[in-house]
Amino acid sequence: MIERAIENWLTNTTERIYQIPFCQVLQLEGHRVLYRSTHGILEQGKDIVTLTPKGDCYAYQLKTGDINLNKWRAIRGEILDLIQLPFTHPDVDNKSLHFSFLVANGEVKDPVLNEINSLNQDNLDKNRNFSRLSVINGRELLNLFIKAQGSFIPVEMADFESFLGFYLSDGKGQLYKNRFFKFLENVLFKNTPSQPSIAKNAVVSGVILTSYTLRQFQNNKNNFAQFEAWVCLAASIVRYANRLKLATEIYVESLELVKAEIIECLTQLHQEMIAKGNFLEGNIIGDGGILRGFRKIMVLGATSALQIYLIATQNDYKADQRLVELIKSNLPFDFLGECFFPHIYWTTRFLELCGENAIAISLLKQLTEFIIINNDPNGRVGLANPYYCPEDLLASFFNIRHGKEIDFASFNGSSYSLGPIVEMLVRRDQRNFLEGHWRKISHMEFLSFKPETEEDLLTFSCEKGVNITKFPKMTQSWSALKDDALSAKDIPEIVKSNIHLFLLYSLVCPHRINTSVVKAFDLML
Amino acid sequence: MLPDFPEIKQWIQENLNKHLRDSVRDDPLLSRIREYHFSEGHKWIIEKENGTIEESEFKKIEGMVQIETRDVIEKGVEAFTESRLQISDEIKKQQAELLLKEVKQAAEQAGNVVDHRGKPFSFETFMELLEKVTIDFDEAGIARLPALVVAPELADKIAKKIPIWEANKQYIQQYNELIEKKKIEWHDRESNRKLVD
Repeated sequence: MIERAIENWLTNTTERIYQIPFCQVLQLEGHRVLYRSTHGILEQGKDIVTLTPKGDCYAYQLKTGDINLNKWRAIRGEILDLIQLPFTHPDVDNKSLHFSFLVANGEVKDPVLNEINSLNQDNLDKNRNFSRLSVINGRELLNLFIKAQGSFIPVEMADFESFLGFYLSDGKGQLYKNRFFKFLENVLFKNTPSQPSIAKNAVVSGVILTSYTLRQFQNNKNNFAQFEAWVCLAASIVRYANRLKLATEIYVESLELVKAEIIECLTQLHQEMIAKGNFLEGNIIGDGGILRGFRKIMVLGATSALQIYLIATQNDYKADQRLVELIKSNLPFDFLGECFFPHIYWTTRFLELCGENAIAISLLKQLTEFIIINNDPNGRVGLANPYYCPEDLLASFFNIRHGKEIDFASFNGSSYSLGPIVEMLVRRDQRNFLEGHWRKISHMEFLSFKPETEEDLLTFSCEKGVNITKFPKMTQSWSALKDDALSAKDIPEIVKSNIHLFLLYSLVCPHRINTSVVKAFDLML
Repeated sequence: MLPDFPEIKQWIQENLNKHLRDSVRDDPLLSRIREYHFSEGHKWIIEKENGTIEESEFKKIEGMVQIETRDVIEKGVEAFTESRLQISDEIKKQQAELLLKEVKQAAEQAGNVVDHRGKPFSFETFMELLEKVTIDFDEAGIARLPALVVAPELADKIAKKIPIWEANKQYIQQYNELIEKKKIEWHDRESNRKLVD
C-alpha cells in the first residue's frame, strides 16, 4: 500500500519536489552531497553533485515526466553541459572524469536511450574526455525510494489512518500540526534504536516519508502547509537527536536538506505574496474580512521570519524592501488570538532591521494595550491563548462545529505573550510606556509552559511538564527588569544551539514561545 | 452491529458536556473563581508576587450517575440531560469542598481567621470579617465585595437580619467608614503598582 502511495506521488510530482528525497537516498548510500541546485537554476547542467564513499564525483540532472525525443532535443544543451563541464570543488579530483546521470520520474523512451548510447559511443570513438551519461528512470527511482523508506512506514492502523488523512486530503487547507507531529513520532521516532545506523535510517526515512505524505499540498502549491510540515520534521529530528544524544553526523545532513526545503517553501510563499499583493486566496465566497486578516498576519509574519533567517545565515543577503512597503500598507493587524504573536514578533523585527523602528515599537505598544484591554481580569471575553490556532478561532467566530470549543472567558486576567512583550519593550528602553501601563500590566498573570525535558520544547504537546502562572511585581524595579531582560542565563541550551530552527519553529508552534525563547531571538539574531 | 450514528452522538455528548460545564459555572460560588484551561503538562506552579512558589498536581473531580436502560429507551437524550443536574451537583460539591479546604488552609496560614466560639452571626461579626479581607474597587469606585460562604440555615438567618442592619443608621455609618478605609487601602495598593528605579 505504501509502495503504491510512493509510486502515485512519484509519478505526479516534479523534479523540484523529488530532489530532496533523492538526495536523501544518495546520502543513505554513503554519498556526500556537495551541491544541490535551488530555484530551478542549473549550474553547469547539474542539479545535484555528490562524492561517493570511494571519492568518485557523481553529477545528476533531474527532469519531470517522460523523456521523449522532443524533450531530449529541448534539454540536449543542458545534457552536454552535464557531461562536458567538470565540477569545481576542493574535494573533487578534476583529473578524473565525473559520472553523469539523467534522472527522470517518468520513462526515458527508447529513441532517447538510443540517442544517449550514440552520444556516449561517439565521445568514446573520438577520444573526447567527456563523462559517460547513464539514465535513472522512474521505475528505478521508485525502487530506490521504496528501499530507502525501509521499515519506517506506518504499520499501526491509527498511524496508517493518519498517513491516509494527510495523503488523501485535498491539500488546500491548514496542516493539522499536532496530528502530524504525532504521526512522525509514532512512525519514526518513538523507539530507542539499538544502533546509530538505525537512528540514521529513521531520520532519512522521515525526509522521504514527509515528501510523499505532502503530495496534495505540493500539488496545490500550498507552500504554507508544506513549510509547517517540514518544520515539524526538523523539530522532530532535533528532538530525537537530543533525546538519544546522537552524534551530529548521524542527522545533520538530513536536517540541512529539510531546512533547505523549509526555506524553499517560504521563498515560494514570499514570491506568491508579492505577485498577488491582495492576500485573497481560493474560493472568493467567504474570503476577505477576518479570513484575509488572519492570512495577512500569517504570511507577512512568515516572510518576515524568512528575511531574518536569510540575513542571519547568508553574509551577502539583502532584505527585500518590497516587504516593508507591503507591511506598512497592510497595517493595522487583526490580533485576535495569541497564536499570532510570533508572526507579529518577526514582523516587528524585520521592520527594525529595515530602519522602521518607530513603526515596530508602535506595533509592540498597540499589542500590549490590546492584550491588557481585552484580557482585563474583570472582562468577559479575552484573547484566545496560543494553543488555539487560526482555524479554531475562525470556527468559533463563525459558530462552526470544529475541533475544540473555546471558552473565551477563561483567558481574562492572563496572557502567554504579555510577559515576552514586556521584556521586549524593556530591551528597547520603552520605560515611559511601561510606566504608564504598569498598573494594568501588574494585574495580569504571565502564563508559560515548561516541559520536563528541554528537547520536549520541540514537540507540539507533552504529557509531562509544568504550567507556570507568574504574577508580576506590583512595585517593580526598572533596573531589575532590565537585568532580567538582558540576562541569557535562563535561555535553554537547546534553543541556543538551534536558534535558526527555533526562528522557524516559533511560527508553527506559537505556544512554545516564552520569555526566554523571545529573549534568545532578540539577543542572538 | 445495527446501524448507528456515531457522529451525531458525538455532537450530542459534546453539547451535554458543554451544558454540564455551564451548569457548574453558574454556581454562585464557583462562578467567582477564575478558570484556567491547560492543554498539556501534569503540574501547575504559581509564582506569587512576593516570589513564593506553590506547586500543585492536577486533581480529578468527577460525578457519576446511573441511568436505567429503560429510561434510555423511553426518554432518549432526555435521560442524559436529566442526569446532567445530578452530575453537576456532585461536581459542584466536590469543587466547593476543595475550594473551601484550600481557602481555609490559606486563611489559617495568613492568620485571617475569626473565631466567635459559637456565638450568633452578628453585624459585628460581619464587620470583623470585612476588616480582615482585601477589597478591590472598580474604576468607578464601586467596591468588589467578597462572597460570604455560609451554610444554608445560616444564610436564611443572615438574610432576615440584613434589612434590620440596613435600617440601623449607626451600622450604615460604620459600614461606610469601613468601605472608605478599604478604598484608601486599595488606592494605596494601586499606587504601588509602578516602575521604580
